[in-house]
Amino acid sequence: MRVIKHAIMIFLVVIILFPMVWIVATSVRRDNAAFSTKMFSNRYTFQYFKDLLLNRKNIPQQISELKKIANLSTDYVKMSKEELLASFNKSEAELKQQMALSKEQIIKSEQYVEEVVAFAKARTGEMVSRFNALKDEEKMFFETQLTDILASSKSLQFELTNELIHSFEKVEGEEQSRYLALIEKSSPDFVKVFIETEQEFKNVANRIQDAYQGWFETVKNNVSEGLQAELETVQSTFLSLLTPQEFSYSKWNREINLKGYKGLTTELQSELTSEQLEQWTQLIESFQEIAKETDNLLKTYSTKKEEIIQGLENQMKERNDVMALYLSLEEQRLQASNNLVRLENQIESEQQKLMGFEERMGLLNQQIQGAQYEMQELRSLVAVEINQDNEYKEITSDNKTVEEVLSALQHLSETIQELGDIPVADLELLSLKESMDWFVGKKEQLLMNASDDSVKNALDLLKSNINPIREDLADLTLLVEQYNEIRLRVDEYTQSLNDQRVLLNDKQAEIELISSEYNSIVLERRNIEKVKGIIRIITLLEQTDDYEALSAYNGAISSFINNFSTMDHPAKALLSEISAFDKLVYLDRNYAVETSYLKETVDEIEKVLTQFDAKKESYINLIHANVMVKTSELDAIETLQKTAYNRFSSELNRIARIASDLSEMEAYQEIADSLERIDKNIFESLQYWIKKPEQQFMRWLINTIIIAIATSAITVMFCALGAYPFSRLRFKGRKYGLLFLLLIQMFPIVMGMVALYLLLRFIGQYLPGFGLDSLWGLGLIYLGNIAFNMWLLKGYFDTIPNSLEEAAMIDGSTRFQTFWKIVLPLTAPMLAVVFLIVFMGNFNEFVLASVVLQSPENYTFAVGLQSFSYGPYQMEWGLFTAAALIGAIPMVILSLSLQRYLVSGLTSGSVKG
Amino acid sequence: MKIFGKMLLWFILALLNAFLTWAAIVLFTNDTIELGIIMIIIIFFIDFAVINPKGYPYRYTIPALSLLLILTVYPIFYTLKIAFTNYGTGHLFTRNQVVEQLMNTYVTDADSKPYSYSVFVHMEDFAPTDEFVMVFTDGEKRFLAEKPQIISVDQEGNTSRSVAQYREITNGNVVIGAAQYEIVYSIQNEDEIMAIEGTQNGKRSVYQYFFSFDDPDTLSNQRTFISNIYLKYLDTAELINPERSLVRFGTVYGFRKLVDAQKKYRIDKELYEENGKINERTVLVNQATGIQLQEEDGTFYEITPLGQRIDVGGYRGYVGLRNFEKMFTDSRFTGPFIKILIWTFLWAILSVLFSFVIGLGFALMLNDQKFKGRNIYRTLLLIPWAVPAFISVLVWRNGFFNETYGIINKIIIGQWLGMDAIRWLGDAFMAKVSVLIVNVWLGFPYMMMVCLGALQSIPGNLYEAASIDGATRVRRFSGITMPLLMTSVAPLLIGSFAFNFNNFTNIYLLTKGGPAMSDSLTNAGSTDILISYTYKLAFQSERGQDFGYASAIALFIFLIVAGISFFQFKFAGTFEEVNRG
Repeated sequence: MRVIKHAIMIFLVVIILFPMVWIVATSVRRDNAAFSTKMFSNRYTFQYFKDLLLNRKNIPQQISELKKIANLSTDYVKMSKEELLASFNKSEAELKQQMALSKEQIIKSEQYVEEVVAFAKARTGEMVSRFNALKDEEKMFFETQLTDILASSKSLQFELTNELIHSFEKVEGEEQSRYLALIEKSSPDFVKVFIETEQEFKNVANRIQDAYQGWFETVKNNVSEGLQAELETVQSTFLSLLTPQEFSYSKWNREINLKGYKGLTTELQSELTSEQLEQWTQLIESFQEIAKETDNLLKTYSTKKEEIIQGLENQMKERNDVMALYLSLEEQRLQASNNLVRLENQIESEQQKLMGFEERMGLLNQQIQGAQYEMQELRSLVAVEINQDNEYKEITSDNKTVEEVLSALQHLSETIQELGDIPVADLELLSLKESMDWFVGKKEQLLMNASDDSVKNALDLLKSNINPIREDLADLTLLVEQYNEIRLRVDEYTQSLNDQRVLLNDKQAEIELISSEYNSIVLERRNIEKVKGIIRIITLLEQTDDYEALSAYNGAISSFINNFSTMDHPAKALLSEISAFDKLVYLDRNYAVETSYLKETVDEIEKVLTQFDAKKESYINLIHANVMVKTSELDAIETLQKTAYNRFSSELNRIARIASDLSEMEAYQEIADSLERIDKNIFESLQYWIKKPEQQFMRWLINTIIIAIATSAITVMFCALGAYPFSRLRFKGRKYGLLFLLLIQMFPIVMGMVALYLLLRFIGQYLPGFGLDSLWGLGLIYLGNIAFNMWLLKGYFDTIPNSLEEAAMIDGSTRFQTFWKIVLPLTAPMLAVVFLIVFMGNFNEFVLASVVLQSPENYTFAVGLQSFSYGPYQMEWGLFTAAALIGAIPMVILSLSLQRYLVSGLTSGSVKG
Repeated sequence: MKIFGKMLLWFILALLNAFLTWAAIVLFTNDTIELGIIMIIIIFFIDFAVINPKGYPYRYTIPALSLLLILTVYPIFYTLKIAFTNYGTGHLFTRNQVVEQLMNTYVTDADSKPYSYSVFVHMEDFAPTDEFVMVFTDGEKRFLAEKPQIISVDQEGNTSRSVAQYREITNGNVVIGAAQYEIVYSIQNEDEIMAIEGTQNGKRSVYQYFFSFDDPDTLSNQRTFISNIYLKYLDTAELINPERSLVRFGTVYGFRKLVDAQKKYRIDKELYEENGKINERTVLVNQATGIQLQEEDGTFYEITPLGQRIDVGGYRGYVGLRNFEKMFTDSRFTGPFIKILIWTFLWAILSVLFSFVIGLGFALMLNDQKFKGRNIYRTLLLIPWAVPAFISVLVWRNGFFNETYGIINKIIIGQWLGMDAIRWLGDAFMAKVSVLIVNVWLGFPYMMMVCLGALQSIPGNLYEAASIDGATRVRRFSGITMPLLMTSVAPLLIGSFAFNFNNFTNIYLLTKGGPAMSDSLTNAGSTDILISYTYKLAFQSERGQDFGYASAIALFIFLIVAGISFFQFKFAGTFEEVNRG
C-alpha cells in the first residue's frame, strides 16, 4: 500500500516538476533548445551563467565600445582627455586579451584534431578493402537493374537510343563504351559509322605524327631546347584535337595554325637553314591540307549522324507530337485563366467606380431635389395669383423678365429631356421638368400678370434659381456621360470574361483527353535518365581502388537516390558509414583552413590596433573638442571582424556539429573524447566573437532587491502603526473601517495605472528621482499594499492580551510607548511574515513595473526577463532560462524555508478560534 | 523638554500643511483636480488627527491612510471621472490644447523657393554663446532675423513655440524695433558678410559668422549649432514680418532651409444661442478656403471644398453615461463583453475548484504522519508556487505550449504518441484549457498547504469515534473532514476567487488574452478576462485606446469583486469578529 502511494507520488511529482527540470536543463545547453530533437543534450556549457553574472564584454562589444568613445557618446561626453585615453587603453587591452583567449582555445583543440586525422587516415584503407569485398555483388545488382529497365518497355528503345547518341560524346572511357554497346542494340549503323570515323582520325593522327617526326629528326640538332619544347606542345595539342568530338577546322586554324605554327615559324627562322625552313613550310602546308580533309571527314560523319538521328526521331514522332500538343494546350489554358483573373479584377474596379458615380449622382440629386421643392412652392404661389382673376389684362412692358425666365426654363427642360435614362435622380428630374414645363405653358398668364408684385417676386426667385440648376444639370450631364461609358466598358469586359471562360473549359477538356498518354510518356522518359544514372554508377564502381573514388561512387549513388528512389543494394550499410566518414574528412580538410583564418584575423586586427595607437593622441584631442572625427582604423577593425566572423563562424559551427554527431556514433567511439573536446573548444572560442545582446542582468537583480526590501520595510512599519488603533482603541469607524478599506483595495490597480502615471509625472517634475522611469517612483506605487496587511496585523494584535499594556500604562507610560516597546516586539513573527509576503509580492510584480520603467538600466528583474523573451531574431532560450534560474532560486529557497510561517500567517486572519 | 517636543511637532505640522497646500495648488492649476482634492482631504485629516484630542487614534493611521488615499482612492476617483468622458485615442487633449495645436499648423506653398541661411553668433572668450542673429536669402533679397523669444515650453522642457521678427536688409542696415543692426561686409567680396554689429539701448554686440548649412567649411560647427541654437530657438520659430509672409523651418528641409509659410487656421468668435442666452465661443477657420471647422462629438472636422469631412483633432469631453451604455446596449461591444464576463467567472471558479481539489488530494495523501518522506514531497510540491509566476508562465508559454517547438507538441505528442500537434494557444478552446492548466499548476500548492494546516487542526478523536460507530472512510470524509475543513477554508476560497477574477498577470503573460475573437471591434480575445480586456482597451488597442470605456469596465469589475467580498464578509460573520476588546 505504502509502495503504491510512493509510486503515485513520485510519478505526480515528476510530472509537476518537469518544467523546472526543463529550465535547468535548457540553461546549460549549448545548442538552441528550440531546434533540437532531443529533450536533453550532452553538449553543456555554463556560458550563459557566466554572461549574466560577469557580463564581460566580448570582441564585438569591445569594438563598439571603442567606437562609442570615438563618437563621444553619452557615457564619455564629460570625460577629460586623460580619462578618454584611459578608456581607450582599457578597451584595447580587453580586446587584445579576448582575441588571445579565443586563439588559445583554438590552439588547445589542435592536438585533438591531429588525433582525429590520424584515426581517419588509418580507417580509409579499411573502408576500401571492405568495399572491395562487396564489389562483385554490387556490380551484379546494378547490372540486373539495368537489364530490368531495358526489358520493361519496347517503345523506350528509340528514345533511349536517341538520348544516348546525343550524350555519348559528353562522357568518356568505360561509360562511353557502355553507351555505345547499348546504342548498338538498336542502331548498329551508327556505331559502325562512329568507329570508322574514329579509326580514320587515328590514321590521320599517325600520318601527321610520322611526317612530323621525319622532319624533326633532320633538324633536331639545330633547334634549341626551348623551341623543342614548344614544338612538342603544339604537336601534342594538335593530336589531342583529333577526335570527332573535339575537332573543327576553325579551331585548328586558330589554336594550332595561327597561334602555334605561324608563331613558331618566325622563331625557327633564326635557327634553321633556309633548306630546313623550306621543308618546315611545306610541312605545315601539308598539315593544313590534312586539316581540311579531316574537316570534311567530320562533316560527313555529322551528316550521317544527323540522318540516323532523323530516322530515330521519325519513329518517335507521334510521341513527340503528343508532348508538344500537351505543352501548348497547357500554356493556352494558363493564359486563359490569367485573363480570367485580370478581367474579373477589371470588372470589379469598374464597378467600384460605378458605385462612386452613383454616390455623386445621389448628392446632386439632393440638390436638384431642393431646387425642385422651391420650384414647386413658387408654382403653387404663382398658380394662386394668376388663377385669381382670369380677366384679360394688358400685357405690360414688364415682360422682359418673363421672357428671359421662360426661355431659360425651356432650355433647361430640353436639357433634362436629353439626359434620358439615368439610374438615380430620375423622379426628381421628371418633376422638375414638369414644373418647368408648367411655367412655360403659363406664358400668357404670366405676361398678363407680370406687374403683380407677388408674381414679380416669384419670377425673381425663379431667375435666381436658374443658374444653380443649370450648373447642377451640367454636372449631372457630365456624370451621366462618364457613367454610361463605364457601363459600356463593364459590359465589354463581361463579354470577354465569358469568352475566356468558354475557352478555358475547352482547353481543359482537351487536356483531359491526352493527359494519360502524356503522363505515360513522361514516366518512360524518366527511365532513360535512370539508365544513364545506373551506367554511371557501374562505371564508377569499377574504379574504386582508393578512398577518393569510393567517395565519388557514394556521391553518384546519393544523387541517384535523390532523383529516383532508394535501393537496397549490397553496400548500402557501408555507404552510410562512408557518408559519416566523409564528414570526418571534411573536418580534417576545413579545420585547418578556418582556424588559420581566425588566427590571421586576430593578427590583422592587432596590426591595425598598433596603427591606431600611434594616432590615438591626436584623435583624442579632436574628439574632446567635439569635432566629428572619422577613425578609419576603428572602422577597418569593425569590418575585419564582421566579414571574418561571418565566414569562419558558420564553418566552424558546422565542424563542431559534425564533431559532436560523430562522437555519438559507435564506429567512432575511439576518438569520441577528442571529438567532444574539439566541439567544446570551438564553441568556447566562438563565444568571444558572437554578437551578444547588451544586458544588465546583475543590475536588474540588485534594483529589484533594493526596491523590494525598502518598500517591504516601509509597508510593514506603516501597516503596524495603522493597525494598532483598530485593535486597541475606540473611535468612530473602528467597527467597519478596516473592512471598508479592504473593500476599497479591491479596485484593480491595473486600471489605476493612468492615474498613477499622472501622479508620477507630477512628482517627477518636482522631485527628479521619484518620477516616471525611476525605481523610487515605482517603489512609491508599491507602497499601496495597505489594507490587507493591516488586516493581518490587526488579527495578530488581537491575539496579544491587553493586560501587558494596561499594566504598563498604570505605571505611567503613554499609549505610544506601550505600542512601541511592548506590542511591537511581541508581534515580531507576524511582522516578519508580512515583510516576506510583501517582499515576495513586490519582487514578482511586473505589470506596474513595465509601465513605469522605460530605460533598461532601471528595469527590475521581472521586466528585464521579459526583454530576453523577445530577442532580436529568436528567443534566447539558454540566456532566458539561466537568468530565470538565477533570479528564481533565492526566492524559491526563501519561500520554501519559511513555508510554514507564510501559510499560518495567511490563514490566521480567517480561522476562527 | 516636553515644550520643545511640542514646538517641534507644531513646526513639522505647519511645514506639512504648507507643503501639502502648495502641492494642492499646483495640482489644481495643472488640471489634475482629483489629486488636488485628495491632498486637501489629507491636510484636513492630518490636522484633525493632530490638533483634536479626540483624534488620537487616527494619528496612528496617518501614514497608512495617506498612502491609501493617494495610491488607491485617487485612482478610483480618477477612473470614475474618466468613465464619464471620451478620453482616449483621438480625444487625448483638452479643447484648448487641440486648438493650440491646430493654430500651430502651417501650410507652405509648394512653389515657394526655400531660403538659405547663415547664422552669426556672439562670441565670448572665443567660445560661442547662444546670442545670435540669422541672415537668410532667397537669392535676391536678404533678410535678417533676430534671436527668437521662447513663448511656450512643453512638458519635457522643449520649446514648443518661439517668435522673432525679421526685416529686409537695405543698404547694409536693418532696424527691428529698438535694435539696429549694421552689416559688415568682407573687403574682397562685397556679397560676403563677415559680421554683424547690433546696437540696442546703447549696448553693442558683435555677431561673427558661425554656421551655414550650405558652407562645408562650417561643418565642424554643425553639432554645436544644432544642440545649442537650433533645437532651443529655431526649431519651432515663427519669423514674422508684417509686410511679408511668415518664415520658418520645420518642413521637409528640416534645418537646412527656411520656407515661407502660413498658419493654416485662424480663430474667429461666434455667437450662438443656448437656452435663451447668447454665448460666445471660439471657432477655427481654414484661412485658405475660408471654411469653418465643424465640431461634433468632441472632434474637429474640416470640410474640404469637395464636401469631404476630415478629422483634424479630437479633444476629451464629457459624454455622460455613454460608456456604460456601450457595455450593455451597444451590440458591437456587448457581445464580446458578455462573453468575456462569462469566461471570467468561469475561469475564477474553475481555477479555484481544480486547485482546491488537487490541493486537497495531495493534502490528504500527505496528512499521514507515518508516510516517510512526506516533508520532502511537500517541499517539492510547493515549488510551483514558490517560483515567481512570471518565470513559470513564460516557460510554459514558450517552452511547452509553443505549437512548433514546445516540448509537449514536439516530443510528447509528435514523437511518442505520433499525433498531430495541438494548437495550444492558437485555438480558442485549447487556449482556455492551457490557461487553466497553468493557473491550477501555479495555485494548487497554496491550497495544499492550507488544507494541510486545516486538516491538522481537526482533532483525531473525532475520526476514532466515527470509526467506532462504523462509519466508512468515505462517510468519515464527507461527514467530518469536509464540513470542518470548509469552515476554515471557505473564506480563503472566496479570497482566491477574487484574486483569480482579477488575475491579470497569468492570463496576459500566457496568451495576452488569447486568440482574438473574430467579431470584435475592440481586440477582445478568447481567453481575456475582464481585467485584461480593460487593460488592452486602455493601453493597447491598435484601433485606438479608449480610456473612457475601459474605466467604465474597471468600475464594473470593482463593483463585482467588492460586492462578492462584502457578501463573504457578511456571511462569514467577520463583521462581528471585529468587535473585540
